Amino acid sequence: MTIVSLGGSFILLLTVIIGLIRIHRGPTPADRMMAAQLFGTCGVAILLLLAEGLAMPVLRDCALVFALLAAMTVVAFVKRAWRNK
Amino acid sequence: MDGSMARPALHKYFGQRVLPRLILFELLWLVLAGTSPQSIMISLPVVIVATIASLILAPTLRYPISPLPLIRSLPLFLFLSLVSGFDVMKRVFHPDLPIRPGLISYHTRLPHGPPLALLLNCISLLPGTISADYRDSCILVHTIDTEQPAEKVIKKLEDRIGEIFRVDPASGGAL
Amino acid sequence: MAIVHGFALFMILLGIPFFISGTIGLLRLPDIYTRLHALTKADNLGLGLIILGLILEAKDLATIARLLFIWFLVLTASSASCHLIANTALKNKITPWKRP
Repeated sequence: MTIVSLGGSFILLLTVIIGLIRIHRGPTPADRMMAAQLFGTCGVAILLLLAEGLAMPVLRDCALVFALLAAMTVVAFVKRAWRNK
Repeated sequence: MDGSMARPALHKYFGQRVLPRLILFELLWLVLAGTSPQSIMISLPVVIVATIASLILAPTLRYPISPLPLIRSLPLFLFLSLVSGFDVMKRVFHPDLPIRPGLISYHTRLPHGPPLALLLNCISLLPGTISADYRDSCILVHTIDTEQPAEKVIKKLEDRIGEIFRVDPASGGAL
Repeated sequence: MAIVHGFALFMILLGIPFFISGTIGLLRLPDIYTRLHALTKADNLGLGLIILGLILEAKDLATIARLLFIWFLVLTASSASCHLIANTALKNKITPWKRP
């Protein structure tokens, strides 16, 4: 279980890093925002796997905060940052 | 105003509006913060304030949720989510990228508010569709493959949501 | 117990490819709308499967409740923000890509 959890979180971390290419390419702010959203979902999964693999239940609370913030960031972005050009 | 007349109404108000919310918020607190005695002490004022706030912000729930159809629909929701995940995987890993995206519009009779919001959210989890706009009871749906029969699945989902909120999508009113 | 444990491992291992396909989709697909498809559906399913696996491994009810709550939050947040982004993209006159 430990190996699967830690290995899985490592692979997910790699996909997040590959996802950075989309932030570099853009082209619209929304594309960059979507890459950030990917980090949100992946981040939750990574933290949950680490909580299991490292036997650190506290990381589950971090995942909870990630999940709570995920909704706020997109709403804030759409309403404030992504204005009509 | 006679005090003895007001009492049953007050009981009803407490039983139907206040108590369910108090229980819901307390349960939520227990999930978030754990069950240590100190944490429960702190939770009491917080839960009371949250209940008052929710009674001010949403005094009535216009569409009561019926739990049985909701539980009956969960397997369908999960199954459709599974199908749509595999659908994305199949398309994305295919060397030719087999997508024919386009916009279609879907006419819905679900009323404004929670039923419509749930439908719009669920469309984004269905295989090959995301909801993009809503105007004059028409949902603008972006589909990843215009040759896929999206309407049929949305119709099925609409009927289920109608059952959950006890509204009839065909007539637009309550059952 | 061994069967439950094996099933949990299988669920976690099954979830990871969906995250990978979400990222590949984000890079390969041609426009905002199609990328939203990949992001919303694949990542949610991936997280769902991983959380299911972790629930099977969980030792107490509090952990299970917390995992389910996280799943629920991410599911609602991502489907709502998917609609919000698609809607704003349409309002900003970003035309959907069509196969030429």
